[in-house]
Amino acid sequence: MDAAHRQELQDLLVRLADGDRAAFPPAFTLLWPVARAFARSFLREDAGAEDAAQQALVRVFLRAAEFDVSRPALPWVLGVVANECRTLRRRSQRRREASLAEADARPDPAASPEEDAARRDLERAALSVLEGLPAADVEAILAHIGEAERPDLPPPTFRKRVERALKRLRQAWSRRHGTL
Amino acid sequence: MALSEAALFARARRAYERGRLQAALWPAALLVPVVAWSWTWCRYPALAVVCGTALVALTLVFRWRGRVWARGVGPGLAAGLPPLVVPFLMREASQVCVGEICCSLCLIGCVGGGLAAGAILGRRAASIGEGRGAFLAAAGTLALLAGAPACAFAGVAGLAGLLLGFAGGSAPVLLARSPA
Repeated sequence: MDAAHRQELQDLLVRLADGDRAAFPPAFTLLWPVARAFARSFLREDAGAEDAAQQALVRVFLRAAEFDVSRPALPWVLGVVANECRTLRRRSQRRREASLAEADARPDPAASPEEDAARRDLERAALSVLEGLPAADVEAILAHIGEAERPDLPPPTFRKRVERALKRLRQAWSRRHGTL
Repeated sequence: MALSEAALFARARRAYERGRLQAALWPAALLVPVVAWSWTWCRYPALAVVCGTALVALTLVFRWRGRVWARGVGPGLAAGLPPLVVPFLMREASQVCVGEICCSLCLIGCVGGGLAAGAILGRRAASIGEGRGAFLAAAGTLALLAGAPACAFAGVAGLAGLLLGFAGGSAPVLLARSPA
């Protein structure tokens, strides 16, 4: 975005913060391509980027009344888009982990003896990696997949602890088995 | 799921209006304790409720609407303090007589408070280039609504005194500063 467009964006957001509705259509026209391009470069996948850019744009307009007119507009807008991208990425990661845990928990009555053996091997490999982790991480992971009682922690703290534990689990698995 | 650009535009527009309303809620909510306090001592509690409700609602609407209407809220509420506080402090005072003409001090407080409010807002409005009328209408309405419960101690004469004082305070400043 060149200096003229930055200045135009600044003026439009100042007008929107003041309640000038006439600034809405040009602000939308200017912001939508910026948000989409930034989300694409942030997430590197088109479908997710489109969703994130749309959510972010709605959030930008939701917060337009609180925009601090003494601050530059473009970094503020990009900060909102980046935040939305991060949230979307975290959400899809969590969904992926939840579906894996769900698949693991489900016994497969149609599995052959070979498949059962492979599954047991995988469980052993996972347990050996788990044993190398700190006790708090093991406790958090087991509680996360429903194999142990959840520790008495506030939900955000527990979520953070699970995130950290899963990250360390992935690193330990990569060190021991090479691939995830 | 990704929305069409038209649907996104409409959603962003709704978000903008919702954001403005949310931003307007706080200043309006801060007035509720003041309104409740004025209800406890006002001579006509129903008047305090009507004026207080209108004060809170108009503060919300003006802040949501934005531009010159929103810029009138702060000065309007500040200008409402003299007609609220002065007659309230003088409510128990006796009458003052000049010759055979007697007048309650509370009524004089209403006229004086109105004059002060009018002068404050007249000066402020005179410095505004565009939207002077809207500014004075918004800020003046809020100042009068804020002062009315206290001026009710002097009855209808107190309310009329407040109105006359306000007109007398704002008109000269406006006339003196208006472009030829």
